[in-house]
Amino acid sequence: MRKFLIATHGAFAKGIKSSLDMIIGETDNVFLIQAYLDDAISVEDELAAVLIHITADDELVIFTDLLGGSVNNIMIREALKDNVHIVSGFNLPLLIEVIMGDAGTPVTEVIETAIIDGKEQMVYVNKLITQQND
Amino acid sequence: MIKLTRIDDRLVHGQVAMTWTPALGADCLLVANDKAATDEFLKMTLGLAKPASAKLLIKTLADAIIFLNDPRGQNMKILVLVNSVKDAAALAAGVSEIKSINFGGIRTREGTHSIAKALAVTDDDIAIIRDLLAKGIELEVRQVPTDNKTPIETLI
Repeated sequence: MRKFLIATHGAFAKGIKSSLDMIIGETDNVFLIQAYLDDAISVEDELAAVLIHITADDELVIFTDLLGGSVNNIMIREALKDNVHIVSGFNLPLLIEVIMGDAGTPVTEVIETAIIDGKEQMVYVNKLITQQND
Repeated sequence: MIKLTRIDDRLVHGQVAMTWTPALGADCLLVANDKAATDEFLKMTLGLAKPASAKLLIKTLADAIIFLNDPRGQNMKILVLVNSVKDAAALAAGVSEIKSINFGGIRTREGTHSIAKALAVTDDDIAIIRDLLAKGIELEVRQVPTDNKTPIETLI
């Protein structure tokens, strides 16, 4: 089974999950880590609580907010295994594409394509409109 | 053929591009809307929301009816989008292939009451809905394809 974890500094994970639910409907198998919101719980512990739900037969895709950020570093250190895939610097289009990705398509392929498409969604709209009107 | 006729006051947007188009395998999005068909700016913004996998046609209601009745459209997989109950009824009256209408989002405005999440209708809309039901047309409420169909008669 393909499962997902959105891990971010603060409440970004929960916020983008709300956007996701609105656009593609409620989805199962999406875990969230809102790092450092609560001083009493470490990111490592939050991650451990997610990993309990991941069996050897599952695939886990972890989305992190910042390449080189501490959240991403912890994911690499604690979770990187053969069946775990970490994608940093996600945006909403990338999340949608990976989470809605066809379960029959290999996860590496789904991720590679979604990264390309997600980058294409980052557009300076003013310029685009000027080009269309020329 | 028509894969789905949907009422959504945002016409083409995230839900439509990201969920309905792939779920239906639609290769053509037909926006049937008199205002959009004559408004260049609106056409441009709808074009920005269009998924790459489908072509976008924006036509007046009258032209949309002609297009949908044209046998040459039979091998296209069309997702029809209107932004009001009134326009949906006009299309259904002109296109016999429309046997089912999906109610997506209609936001609250003056004189509406909410009958479901993201769905607000006026008394006039309700009268049109009853008329469509009497004609045997299925009216189902779903925001996204993975939602369960809610028959509109259970909500009004």
